[in-house]
Amino acid sequence: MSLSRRLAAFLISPLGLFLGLAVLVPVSMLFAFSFFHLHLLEPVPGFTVDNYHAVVTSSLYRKYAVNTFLIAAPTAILSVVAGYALAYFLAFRAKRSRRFLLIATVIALMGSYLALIYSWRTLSGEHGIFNSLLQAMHLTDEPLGVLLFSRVAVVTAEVNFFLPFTTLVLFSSLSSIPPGLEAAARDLGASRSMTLRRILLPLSGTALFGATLFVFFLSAGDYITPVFLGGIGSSATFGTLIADQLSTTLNYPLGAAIAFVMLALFLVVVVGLRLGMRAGGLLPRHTG
Amino acid sequence: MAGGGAAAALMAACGLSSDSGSSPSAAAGSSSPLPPVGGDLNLYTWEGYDLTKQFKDWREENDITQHLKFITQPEEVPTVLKGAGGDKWDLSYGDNVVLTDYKNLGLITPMTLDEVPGLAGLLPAFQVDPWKNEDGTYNGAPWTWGFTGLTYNTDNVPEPESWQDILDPQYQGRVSTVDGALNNVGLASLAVGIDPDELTTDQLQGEVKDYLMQLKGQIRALAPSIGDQISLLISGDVDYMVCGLAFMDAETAAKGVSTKTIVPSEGAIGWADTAFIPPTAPNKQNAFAWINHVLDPEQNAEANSAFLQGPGVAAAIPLLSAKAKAQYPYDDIDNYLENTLTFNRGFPREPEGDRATYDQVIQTWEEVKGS
Repeated sequence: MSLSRRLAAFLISPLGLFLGLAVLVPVSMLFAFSFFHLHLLEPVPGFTVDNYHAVVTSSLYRKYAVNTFLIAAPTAILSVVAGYALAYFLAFRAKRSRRFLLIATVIALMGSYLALIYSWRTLSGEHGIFNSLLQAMHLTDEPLGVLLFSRVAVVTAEVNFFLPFTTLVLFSSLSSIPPGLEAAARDLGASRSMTLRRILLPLSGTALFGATLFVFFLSAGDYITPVFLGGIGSSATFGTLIADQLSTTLNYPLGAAIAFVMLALFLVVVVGLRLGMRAGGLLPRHTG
Repeated sequence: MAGGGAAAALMAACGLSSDSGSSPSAAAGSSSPLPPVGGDLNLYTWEGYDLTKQFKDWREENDITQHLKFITQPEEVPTVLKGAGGDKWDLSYGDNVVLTDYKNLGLITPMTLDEVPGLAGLLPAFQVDPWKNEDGTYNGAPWTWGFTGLTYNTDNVPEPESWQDILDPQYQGRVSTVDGALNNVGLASLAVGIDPDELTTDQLQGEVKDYLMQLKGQIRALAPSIGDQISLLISGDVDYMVCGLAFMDAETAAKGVSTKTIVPSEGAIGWADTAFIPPTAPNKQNAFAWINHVLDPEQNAEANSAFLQGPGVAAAIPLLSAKAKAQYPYDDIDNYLENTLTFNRGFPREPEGDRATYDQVIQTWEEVKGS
């Protein structure tokens, strides 16, 4: 079946219909809104690029974009690195404990997102367990403020939340690699790091690519964690900005424009990551 | 305009009207007779202001079934009332800061003394704009009032006299405020000696923003809600809470933390939470009845005694609990409401001379947060 026929079959399928209604239509509407202007809380139909001009040229929005990147990038990197280590252990090293660890990973996904955020607040506050422990062990003289209401706190909580996702995605990829490949590479004299770099990472590159983007997008769009765990500066992200425009000031046109500028930046990240991973030999050149 | 019809259809599908809002005057004084009281009553209200427990007997007597949704930030009220499904709410709330704005946006049905006789008993401070119109109608019922001031931990820090005191470097990282542009800009205006109702764009970008930037340097965290403000005080993560409310002191005391909410020397923002009826309310007769009931002096006193807030109804003052009476100087209450608290009217949506607009206020707060 040709690609066009497969696409046509998909589009007329129930799934295609659902995607069309639930994704394409709202996104198209939001895109149309981004060219409207606001008058007394009402989006007035028209065609103006003023909203895009404001977002692109304003230093304020650049600061929001930079702060968003400074949260999303470390969150994605740490989630993927830690997830890869855990997935590697599960796929190649864990024996009897594999089932238990997999169940524990899945259970970690089941907790309420807000409960997790409030748990971090309880643990990391000035009188929380972390600071009490550090002081009891005489590692610090006074509570560490950076543990809460900071960018570090936001990244830590988000890594905590996304780690099970990346672990499961990467485990799925690594467990499909025949264990004999790693052993063969070692038999042929490859060191552990060379085996990792030349065998395992390229073979799991597509999953790495997907997991990194998955976490980056969700982190960049998150408007809950930065508000609850970030300080006044570190809560200033694109996610909170869009939420403010759509739910507080009802400025749908500006909120939509910010969302599409963010989408454009996401595409830059996708292309950049893909090129970077290809250059590093982590992504096969034939991958679509 | 080409494509306007399609755009309007898109907006309608989003639950947004494409016209510029219904005229308040058109909605006012609707002559069609209202059905008898009874049936559904949909309240979009601040948590607690539903008075669900206190009004239980009243609902049963009038065969009213109540449905609730709670407001979390004042800025979201127009969003909800103008958004999809917003036409189902019979009664909502706005204070003096937003009431004129809501009226201009067509969110309010003016009410008459015939419809709500209890409005005649309001304190003199609330018998003026923005609650009462020149034609004698009312935009809503300000049945409870208080002030947004400065809350501090009485065990950890000294009582501040001025809004400037919390800028002392020794309190860096010990201050919080709620994440809301209107309240913070209003209080910052008072802090630098400017009446928020006369704030100009230049002053907003000058003295007021300067104060907010200094305040930002002191702030440990922004509280996304009132509940979060209380949590921050209880956890001991902060000692000063800008945009503090008097009822927080009771909440923190219940958790063993002693706080006090004060009016600094430059003043505080007074607010009168006002129940209003949107033009699209499907059960106006029930909303009128609810407002009449809350303006009954006994009911008004009971509700405000529970909240430890001021009653909008003059005749309710003698009926307040002793604890509620101790909250405010009721022997000189008209002077207190007139001169100590600033019941500002909010910021205009459209340019009015050199006055700072609503959008500029929002933008300034975003700049402060993002800087």
